Amino acid sequence: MTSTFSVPSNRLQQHVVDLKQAGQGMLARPAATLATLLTIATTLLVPILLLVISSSLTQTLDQYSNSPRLTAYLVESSNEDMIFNVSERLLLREDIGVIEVVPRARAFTEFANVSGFDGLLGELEINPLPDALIISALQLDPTKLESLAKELAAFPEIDIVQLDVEWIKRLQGFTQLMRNFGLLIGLAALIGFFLVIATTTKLIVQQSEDEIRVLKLIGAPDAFILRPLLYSGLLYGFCAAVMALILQLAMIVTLVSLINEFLVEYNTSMPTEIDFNLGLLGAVLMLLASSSLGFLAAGVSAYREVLKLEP
Amino acid sequence: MIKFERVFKRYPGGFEALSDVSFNVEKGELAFITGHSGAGKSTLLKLILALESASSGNISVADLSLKNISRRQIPKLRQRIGTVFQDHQLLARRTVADNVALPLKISNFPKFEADRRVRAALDKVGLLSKASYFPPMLSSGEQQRVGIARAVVNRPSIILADEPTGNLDPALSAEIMQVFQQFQKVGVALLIASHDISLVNAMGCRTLVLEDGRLLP
Repeated sequence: MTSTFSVPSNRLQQHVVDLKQAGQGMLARPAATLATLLTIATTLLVPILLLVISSSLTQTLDQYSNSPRLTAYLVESSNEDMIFNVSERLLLREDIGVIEVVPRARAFTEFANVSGFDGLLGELEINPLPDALIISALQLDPTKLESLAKELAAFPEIDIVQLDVEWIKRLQGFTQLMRNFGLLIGLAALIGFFLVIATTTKLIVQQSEDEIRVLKLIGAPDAFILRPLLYSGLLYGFCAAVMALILQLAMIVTLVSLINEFLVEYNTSMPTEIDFNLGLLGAVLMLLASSSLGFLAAGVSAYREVLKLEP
Repeated sequence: MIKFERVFKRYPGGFEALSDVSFNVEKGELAFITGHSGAGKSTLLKLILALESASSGNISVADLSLKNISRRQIPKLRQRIGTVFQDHQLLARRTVADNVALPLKISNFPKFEADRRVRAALDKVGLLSKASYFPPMLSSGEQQRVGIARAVVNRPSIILADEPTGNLDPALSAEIMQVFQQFQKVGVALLIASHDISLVNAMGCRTLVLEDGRLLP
């Protein structure tokens, strides 16, 4: 009996009651609510996926390209003195930071271990691999890096210079494209999100027209009528964002191995396990943004509709 | 509490629902308004509730002039008036208690006080045992009593009632009128529109008779 007398004692309680009422309204129409939430969640999913993947890739690529490396393979006749001399000369340059010497013997052992042909390679009488210098450049500009590579190649002690930044540039371009595309899709998704919640709110108002008229008749101000509708928009935004985050996690789990395989194909020195997730802050921001937008969309729609209704 | 001064109400097309209507209902007064169907009773009640505006003349309700009433002031005005509607105007998806509690909820009453008032109002109309029912589960007479409980629960300074005893038997009608008289005694102004001449005569109160939109002398 007492449960039927639910009149709040203060404004905060009133807001809690309105929020509860909005939630109960959603639960009272489970199929329609689920359909609306799925529509909004899938609308949000595509831009989130594109942004998460492109952001993670860009971050990783930025870290990697911040220390571009060149590999200089020395001539076949190289020896320790030659390696020392050329390294010393190179270190005098301002555009070179660190040089790691990879003697041919070490390179042979590493190759044998990595390739699994250690038995077969052990039978070779000569080591066909050259001595190599792994040079960390202080230069980030791809054009200047290419020019450095050419200058190094002109050294008589150096046979071949390999600069592995081209694919990074291409991948960076691709991720930038992905990010821009994600932002555009995101903008379209926001409009869609807004329209779905605004339309849903409009339908709720239309279904409650009689109730709203009675409330106005007995003196309910617009704010009293609007509050549950605003909370309904907020809940739609919040729940849809939660669903989108769950869907995004599920999709990332599926996609992550494919992306990491793709990276392995390109370069072994790059981190091949990239963490693709929105992060706690990103997830919280998304929940806040989605809830706020839901609140705003419901507010705009409800205000227009409620204003039109007169007892 | 209710003051009409030379009020006219004309609808588009030229139909004049009220013509030169002037009257007062003072604090603590119970007045009836009678007249045949279409005489202008409902229009008069609508003007008091600011559901419509007068074409000319002045109306003041609870010291508030309705001539230039703003949209924001209208809810405040209606909160000061307890209204019993002929067609009940109850929310079908809310319980009887919740329907009665609505004016208190709108006025942001403390829960304890609101609970007490809802019980008291339902007790007065004999429906406390049906507090958890939904309006469609009640008879028309019971729904009318819920409407009356809702109208009085906020202890308004003015009560308007449009045929409040239309669906009630004579015994219950008399009880409801006693409830109204109790409010009259504590200073509430009541204006009751009714066809029930025997009830009006039995109450011995001032009666305003409307005929074709004019108030008979």
